[in-house]
Amino acid sequence: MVTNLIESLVALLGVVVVSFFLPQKWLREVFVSRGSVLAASVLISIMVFEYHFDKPADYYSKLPVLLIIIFSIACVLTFLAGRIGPVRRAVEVFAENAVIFLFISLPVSLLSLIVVAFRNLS
Amino acid sequence: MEHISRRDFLKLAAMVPATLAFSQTILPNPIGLDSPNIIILVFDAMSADNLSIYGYPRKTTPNFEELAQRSNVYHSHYSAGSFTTSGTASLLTGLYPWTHRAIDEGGQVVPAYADKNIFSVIGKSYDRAGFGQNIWAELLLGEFRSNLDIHLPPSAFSVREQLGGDLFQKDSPIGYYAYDDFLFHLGDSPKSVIFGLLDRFLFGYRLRSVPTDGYPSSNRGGENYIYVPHSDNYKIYYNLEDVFRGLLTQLHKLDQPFLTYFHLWSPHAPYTPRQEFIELFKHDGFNPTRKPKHPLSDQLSVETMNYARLLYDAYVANVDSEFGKFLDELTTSGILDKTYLILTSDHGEMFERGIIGHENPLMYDPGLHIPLLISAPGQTIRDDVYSQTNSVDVLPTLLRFAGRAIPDWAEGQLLPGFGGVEDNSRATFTVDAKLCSSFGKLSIASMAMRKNGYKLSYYLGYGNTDWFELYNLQNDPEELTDLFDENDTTSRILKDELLTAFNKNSGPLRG
Repeated sequence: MVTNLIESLVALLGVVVVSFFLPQKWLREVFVSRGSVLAASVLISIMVFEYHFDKPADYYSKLPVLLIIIFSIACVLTFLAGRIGPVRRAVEVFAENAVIFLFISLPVSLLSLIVVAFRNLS
Repeated sequence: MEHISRRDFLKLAAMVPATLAFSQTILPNPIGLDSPNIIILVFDAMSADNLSIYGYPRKTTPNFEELAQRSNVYHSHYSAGSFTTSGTASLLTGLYPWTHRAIDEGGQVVPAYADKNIFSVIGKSYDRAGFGQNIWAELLLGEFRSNLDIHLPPSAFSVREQLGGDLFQKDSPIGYYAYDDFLFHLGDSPKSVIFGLLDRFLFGYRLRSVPTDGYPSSNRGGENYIYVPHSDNYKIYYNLEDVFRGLLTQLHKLDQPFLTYFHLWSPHAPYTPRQEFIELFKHDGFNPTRKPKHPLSDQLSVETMNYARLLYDAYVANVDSEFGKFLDELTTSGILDKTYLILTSDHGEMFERGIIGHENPLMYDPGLHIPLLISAPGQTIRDDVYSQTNSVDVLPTLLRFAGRAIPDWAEGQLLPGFGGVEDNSRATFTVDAKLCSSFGKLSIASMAMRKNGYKLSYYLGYGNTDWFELYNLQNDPEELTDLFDENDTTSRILKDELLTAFNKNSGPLRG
């Protein structure tokens, strides 16, 4: 839970940092859909690659190529997510409904973080 | 005396250290027979069936044979468990798996027995050290850590390691479970997507500089395979020389008397011997007995199994070679003169019937028959014991070495040669129930009972029907002829006894 919380914050931070550097008009109306697709496509791409790599040394030797592919796919999907109306609306509905998970996972994750920190870092 | 003068007091004060100094010269050495050191050395997944000391055609263990010249050698010693968790727990607690219930992969002993282990019963007068290079053994040591004076992490003596569990000193078992077993486990894609990527990238980078001199240069493991001893599941890469050297250093640091439990990963898969040991057997023409493929096996080909066997045998020879140096140092340093050295394993390894390894429920000897050598302080002769013994017998025997009483909860008995008697009429068991909950009924399980030279195996919950197999281990050591349907009387008697024991112990835990 603790790792998931921190990892989610890192992923969110990544989306925010990307948004900070991109022109406002690219994201103003479609932040939710493009942000969601960007995060999901990057994470799913990483998962696919991690599934196929079974040796630690693979990660070092193949990671540069892997990152180029991941971000190319993510850029294309993120661009399309803002352009295709039905896709945009579907992503927005999904994201809106997924908010319910925050009400569960955030308090539990924070509690987990406090327990781990209290027991092991004191 | 009316009063004590200053002079009287000074005389008295001078007498105290003088008396204490004198006592050191006339009292027996505290490291005598009453409190010898004890070293338990466990080689993970070492099958007795592949050791030349037990008659294997390949010369895999010349140094074990050297130790055997001054040891008790147990020829029919079996693990009570079929894989690391259950086998190690039985060795450490003297209890069968259906009692201690560390039965699932990475499991721990149930709370009722958590304080019943070799470290607690031998007591605080011993300096007690534990080292489990296998994480699943480490999880048990972590459970018993309040009974350990020194607890080395699994990553100790490694060339490269990247474990996180030991960062959580007060929650190390949970740390290993959550961090190394769940989030960053090497055997699967990591559960932590972003950190897992970074973790493996960093470890991959660090592995690039691991020295591989002397190891095969072929890409047998595929591109980017680092061919040195390691765990496939956890981020530990090591050299056997470093591990044995580290253990020796640790031994010299301990206060005597000491009890050490050193559980080495090798020769567990992946089999990574040095090239010179592969060359020993590569073209020897050895052709193991062919056995029928079992329905519960992976249906592997004979060629695949024989090649894995070759690497395993070479790895065992490699381990034996490094053990030989370790033994020499123990001898020359004088440690062995006041130490019981116990050499054993937690379970065996199979290269037959369509199977490589031990991750199956089958009860055939290669997976359960393990080495046991015990060298007593000053022992100069070899004593061979052929009657069947079990890993649950180690705890009571070890307590005898230390002059401790054997607790009534111990399920084993003294080993022959150390107070016990050779008794083949006694029933001993091996239990596998890795698919069951520790606290529930053992509804999917396999077990073997040995008695009077026979072995009866029982498979419960695998497939549509349960079944038994009976082998006469004296006439048919390769277990090729199933006698269960042929020998009605023996089958019935053994079946009744096995089922009685199983039904008594396999229910859900209460309280």
